[in-house]
Amino acid sequence: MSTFRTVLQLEWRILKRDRSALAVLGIFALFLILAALAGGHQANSLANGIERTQSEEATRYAQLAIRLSELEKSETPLSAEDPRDSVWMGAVGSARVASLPPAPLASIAIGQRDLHPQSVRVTSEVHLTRERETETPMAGPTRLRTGAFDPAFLFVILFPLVVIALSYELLSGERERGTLAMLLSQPVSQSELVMGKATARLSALSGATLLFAVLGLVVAGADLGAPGALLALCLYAGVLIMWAVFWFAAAILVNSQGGTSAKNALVLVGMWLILVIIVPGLVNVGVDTLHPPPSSIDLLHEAREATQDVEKELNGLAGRHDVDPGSGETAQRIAVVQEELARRAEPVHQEVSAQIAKRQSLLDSLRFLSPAILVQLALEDVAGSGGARHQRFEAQADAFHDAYRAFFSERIQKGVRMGTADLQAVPRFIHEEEASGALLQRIFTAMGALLAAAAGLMLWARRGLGRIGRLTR
Amino acid sequence: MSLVRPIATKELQEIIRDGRLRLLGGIVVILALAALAFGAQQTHRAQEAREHASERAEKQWEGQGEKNPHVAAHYGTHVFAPTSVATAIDPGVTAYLGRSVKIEAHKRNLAAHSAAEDSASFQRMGSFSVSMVLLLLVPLLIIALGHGLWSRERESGTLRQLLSTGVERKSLLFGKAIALFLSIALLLVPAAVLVLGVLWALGGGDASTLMRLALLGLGYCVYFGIFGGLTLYASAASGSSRAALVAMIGAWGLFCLVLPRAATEVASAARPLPSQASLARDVAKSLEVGIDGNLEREAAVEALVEDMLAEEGYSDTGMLVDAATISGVELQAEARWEDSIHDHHMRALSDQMSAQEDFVTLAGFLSPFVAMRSLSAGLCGTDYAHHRHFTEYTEGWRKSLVTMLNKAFADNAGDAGWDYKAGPEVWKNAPAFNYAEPSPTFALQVHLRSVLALALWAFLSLGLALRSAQRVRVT
Repeated sequence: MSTFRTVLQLEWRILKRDRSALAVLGIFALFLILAALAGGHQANSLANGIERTQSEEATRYAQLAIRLSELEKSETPLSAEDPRDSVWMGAVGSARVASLPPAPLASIAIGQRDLHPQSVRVTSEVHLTRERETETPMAGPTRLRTGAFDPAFLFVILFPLVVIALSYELLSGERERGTLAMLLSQPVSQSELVMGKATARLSALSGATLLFAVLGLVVAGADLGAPGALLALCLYAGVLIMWAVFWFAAAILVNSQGGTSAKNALVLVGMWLILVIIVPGLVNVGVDTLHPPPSSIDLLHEAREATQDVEKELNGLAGRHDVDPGSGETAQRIAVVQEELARRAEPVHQEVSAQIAKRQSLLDSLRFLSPAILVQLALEDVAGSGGARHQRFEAQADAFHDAYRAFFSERIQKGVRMGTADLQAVPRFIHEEEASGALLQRIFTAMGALLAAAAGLMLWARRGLGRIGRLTR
Repeated sequence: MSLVRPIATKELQEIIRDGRLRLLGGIVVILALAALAFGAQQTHRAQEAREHASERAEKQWEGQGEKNPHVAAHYGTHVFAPTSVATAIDPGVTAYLGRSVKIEAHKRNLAAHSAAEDSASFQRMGSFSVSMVLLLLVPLLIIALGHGLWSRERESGTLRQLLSTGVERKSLLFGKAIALFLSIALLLVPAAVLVLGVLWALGGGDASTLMRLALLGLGYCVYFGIFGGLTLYASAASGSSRAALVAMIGAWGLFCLVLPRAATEVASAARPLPSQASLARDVAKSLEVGIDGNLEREAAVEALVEDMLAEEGYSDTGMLVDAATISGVELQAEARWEDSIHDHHMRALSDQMSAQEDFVTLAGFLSPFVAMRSLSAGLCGTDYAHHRHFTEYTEGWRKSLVTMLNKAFADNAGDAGWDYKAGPEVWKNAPAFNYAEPSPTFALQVHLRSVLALALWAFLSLGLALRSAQRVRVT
């Protein structure tokens, strides 16, 4: 073990004086801080938006309560926008906002947060498709297409290049400088030498990366004391280290083949290109071809046709300007018709959900084709912007919508007026976080797969590392 | 100068004989063809889906039965954005834009149902299209082929020999540059012919599409030339082939990976967009009190009604006007009032979105990738500007449809008033929806800045390549 430690210390000393390695690390650290700031900006603007809508909701409810208590005493007939009118209240007055709060480490990965609504307005209206107004700021199409400049982007796409820069000449550099033969004349095996050098570089890189990753979280304004933050932080560090281990293993394998440094660099960059850029693209293609995304346009038509008769009646009521659709019998009929609409549109929605689930399960198995996909998805999970968390939110929001609608539908059909007590009883959305067990399981699967891939590469490299003569030539 | 030819022949032969480069080139071409097949399939699917959806929407509209024309306007219909054949080459931002617009009275809806909402979460890691192969991978191929053109000559000692025979440095440069160009052309020209064939099969044989494709081809040639020139310079200026390779891969990563993301991030912070909900709140507020907040809806609509009645010749208040005419005119006045407010807010939103897109193209001066990417999407008709062109046509059509229905109400209802019901004969009279894509010059005008950025890059790269001949050290 002592020779291993000597190699380690030696490599440390070399690394400290390697200006190009320090420059690469410095540039990466700078990008990482900038990306953390950008990610933090997005997460904060999201949190602020949600806070704004929540305080708007609270003020609205307070005002409604005051007006209600005044009106309850006076017994005047219903007027427009009357808080006692359950039709108006359900559709407009007491609309609730269901929000998915950003997770503590949200700044790590924006994920699908820019595409999927994080906050939806829930009213008693029935929506045929997911055409809901959201409180999430819109993003320009080029921004959406390009993706965010967040830490996840840096780690998934650029970080492997940093590892490659630090490791592509692990052995070939020693050989080309003529120092490899000299080193191997010492009582150290070639494997020990490689492992010592790789470990020194890996620990230096991991240390610096984690330091700046945490610093990034701090400048991004992440609340590290929040519940679950510490666990997420540990998982974040674990995924990053496994990702670095994978690329060091790849570099050791390439170095064990005995090529020149230039060749090693080309092979490693080629590997990076295939695993990080090309395979994810091909996986997208594969999924889109095998299970095309459900066409929302078809869904629209299906629902429109399934509900055409109902719609006719609904529009026959809602389009007439000589009757007020907001009150009385018309309102009751509209409420009934809306129920019918929801009932008929249900099978279409289920079909779409089934198709989405099929896509998801195919994706779940195809993600193992590239470690880069695994890392991207794991980082999104840690940042709370992953698919699983959002699907849970969607399901909770749908259930809440049903509960909210049922609450008002009952009152409208009975013709009951709203009172102060009813206002208090309007269902309220509370987002329930997933139990941390499921998250742990997903991340550990990804980490295990990365480790297994790295072990495979190392086993492959062992044969080449045993043949010293060829390497020192 | 007569030596250029033998030099180019020798370099080209060297490139072709190198097995690794043959492999790399082969991979790039295979990926390009796979991307073409996928793009063509997706485009074909999108075109069919649009046709199918339009037919279905038309059937729903015409088969809606008997109802009051204004109730029909509430029922509304949907229109669908066309998919240009060039989408097979460059889908641009279409996946992130809504593809259908709901048409109804009183409301100007945003385009909805973008494909991206239902896609995989790592879709932004690697989108796969012919344009991505051309924008991202071909430059890498150029770097792999070209990084050693000067440096290897020096490292193997042949540069000193060559120059001692009296060969001009310029001839060497031109020979090497021509060899690099030809080796790329050898790979891409057959692929380009195939692309043309596929687009022809998809129905893109018209003059406008061909013009767009010709401009696109020219653009990509310039783009590749920029990387070629930079690579030649790096090869001459670096100490070794390895250093040249590392420097060019670093530049590639900066141009193609880092700057595009950083630029769009800055653009979205500098030109922020509202949320859909806050936009809806603003519109609702303006509908009540006007854009400036000093008008009352009732008064404004009343004034419009009087103007319109005057136009129709009912200015004499003593004249008897039947109730339905008044209702029809009132509806039309209301529509005008609402349209003016929707138009104001939508224009502000579209302007801000265009401003954000424009802001991104500023990064074209820092990265040729950004410039070429936006030009490519523009020429393929898959950028935001083309989308806006479509949505503006759609809004015009919506207004004419609503006007037609309100007029049918005013003219035919008579004493029946709101109980009047029209049938298919009225629905069939809906104005035709004939959207036509803008001309290629529209795309060039929108992307003038990117064209300029590419031209500047081309000059810079040409200058550097010329300098590389003088700069290269012999030993």
